[in-house]
Amino acid sequence: MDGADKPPSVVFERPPNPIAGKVAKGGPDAVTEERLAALEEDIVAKFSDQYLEWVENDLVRLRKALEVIEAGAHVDAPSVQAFRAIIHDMRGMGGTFEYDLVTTIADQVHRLVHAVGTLGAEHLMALRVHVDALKVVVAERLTGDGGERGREVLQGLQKVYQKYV
Amino acid sequence: MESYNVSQLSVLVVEDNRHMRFVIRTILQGMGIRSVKEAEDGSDALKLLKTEDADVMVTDWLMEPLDGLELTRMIRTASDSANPYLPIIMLTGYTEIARVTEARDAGVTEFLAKPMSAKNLYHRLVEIIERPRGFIKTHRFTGPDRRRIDRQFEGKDRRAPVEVL
Repeated sequence: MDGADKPPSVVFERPPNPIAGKVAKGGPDAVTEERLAALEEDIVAKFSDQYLEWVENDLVRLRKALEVIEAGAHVDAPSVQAFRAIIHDMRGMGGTFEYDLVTTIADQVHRLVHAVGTLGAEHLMALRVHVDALKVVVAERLTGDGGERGREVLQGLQKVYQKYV
Repeated sequence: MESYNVSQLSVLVVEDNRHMRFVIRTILQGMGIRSVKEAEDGSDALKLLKTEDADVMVTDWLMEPLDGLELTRMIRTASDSANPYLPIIMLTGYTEIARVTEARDAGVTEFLAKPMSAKNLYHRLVEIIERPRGFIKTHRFTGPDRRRIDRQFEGKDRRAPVEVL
């Protein structure tokens, strides 16, 4: 038997493409670079106040979760999972609202939490320092790279971060 | 970048963070898209897809009870899937290469790292519009062709389209 009667193990299809019939190039309602740039400005203007409310609420929840972890929670405990979920959301949203430092610091926290199997006293101290830095960034409204103050905050964190990651 | 009128598209946004969901909706509507539907997680999205049409789905990864990866697999492979060919944009804070590969292997069409911007999201829509991907079905993978470059080669073209009944 040469296998000629076997069904093909790989099937390649050109699926229907309904999108092609629903979009049109150009025209007054087309999405241009200028329209996108204006839209991004609108998003920041429209949501910046709300974002600050959201992120301040995230910080409160983050500190509460950290306090439970510092009280001896296991690495798989719900409080650690909650901490990870909050930091994941903060990492994903900061840059959208020009809080690039929130994304950068939250990313470091995310890596710190995942880099260690158990959360020892030194790791917890590193997390606390990062959470405090996030609070500074939000309280002082350090958007973009945060200027001189932002660089100062990040440089301080780098020394802590590099010890563990 | 080509400018398209995308107002006739229908987009399903699957995101458990209600703030982020609202931001994504606002961005899509800012592009002129009138039909934006929302789901809070994967199972909510599957229910919605049974009754509503969507041309594109934008989904987060980390959600409970059904995450974006499982949602993608179910859309691609479930026997009762409403549209196995649905273009799926995975929007996530996970940017590690292993995660990108995992998403691609689950059948995601495009990957978009958070923090997102209107420009980045539009670019992914344009990719879907301009470069509709062939569809591969094997015993281990069902989803968009993971190879984006057509290279010349000797031998039988196993990606030649077959008629879909």
